[in-house]
Amino acid sequence: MYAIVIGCGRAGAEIASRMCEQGHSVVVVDRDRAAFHRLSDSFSGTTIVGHAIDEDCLVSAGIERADAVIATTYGDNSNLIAVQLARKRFNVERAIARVKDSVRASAFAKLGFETIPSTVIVGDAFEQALGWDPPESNGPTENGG
Amino acid sequence: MFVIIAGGGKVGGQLARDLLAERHEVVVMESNPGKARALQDEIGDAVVPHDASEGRWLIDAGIGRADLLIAVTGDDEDNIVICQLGEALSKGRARTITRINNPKNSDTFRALGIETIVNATDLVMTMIERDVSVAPVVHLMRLRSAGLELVEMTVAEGSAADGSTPQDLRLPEQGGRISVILRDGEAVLPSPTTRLQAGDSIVLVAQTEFEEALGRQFAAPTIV
Repeated sequence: MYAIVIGCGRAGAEIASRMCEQGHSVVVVDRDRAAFHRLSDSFSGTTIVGHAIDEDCLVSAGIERADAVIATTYGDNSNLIAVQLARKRFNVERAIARVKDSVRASAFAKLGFETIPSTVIVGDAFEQALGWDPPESNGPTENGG
Repeated sequence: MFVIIAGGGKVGGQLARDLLAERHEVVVMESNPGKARALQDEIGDAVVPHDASEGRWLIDAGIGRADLLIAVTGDDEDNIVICQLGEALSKGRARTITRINNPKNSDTFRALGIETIVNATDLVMTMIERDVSVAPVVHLMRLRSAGLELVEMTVAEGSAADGSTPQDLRLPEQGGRISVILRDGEAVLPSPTTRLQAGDSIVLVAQTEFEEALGRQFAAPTIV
């Protein structure tokens, strides 16, 4: 799989490195070159300095032939625009946005975009760690596409 | 009408003042505490000091019963997502208008099928402010789904429109209405008797099916 990871924070660096370990081709985009230091030694992909929704940047990252776009920048809104661009403009098969705001995450999931509601997931993990009942499907990722 | 304005900067503040003066119900959402306080001092409780793209605050502000959501923050991505979120949370009830700060983004957003985009040139903002303040707001919104298009045309020399008035052109009967005339860098609100001139830019709300026929009145005559 050819994947573009947008945003090289902790989550972005983690998923990028994991994908490389699985043998996928990965390009990581971040507007700050210093962010790439978070990538682990197992990362074997390439890096590009640029902005999440800059089409020129996405094209040079190879979005036209990408199988997946993973949007993990700090900003929910940038991530949501990036996955919309990937799906609608570049017909990327899988485009997933990390969205911290649970309301925004479920609203866009209902619109057919794949979202990872990170705050909800962490909340669920804490509940499970505390041994409470597993929560009902709470702001799940939906793929309406 | 109940209007939520996302962004309490210069444009948002002015829109709020205009709308309040027209006795509309207004909530302004501004996440910068300093800006929010300054606006609060002026217009009071109508200001919510929170980010409009944060779902719970948009719900709290009353998006469920809003007629209109105007996103005029300084960030294009925020504006777009706020509008999309507003439409989703209001189940399509709230009409949305946004502005694009960076013209480079307009093609991108248009490609996403986002309909309610306005470039944030001063002229066009003048147009929005005026159109929101007066009654026929509906014309600016939901253009495609209502079978309406907001189009800009330039009056060509020797065209039917050159030297004519909207009345002469019988535009309303033909499914069109001039929203604003941009002439010599200024926005002019047309009356039925305003005479159009070659070189004027016309922002026209047109029924989609009549757009082409309307366009012919503004185009230079073709020699058959």
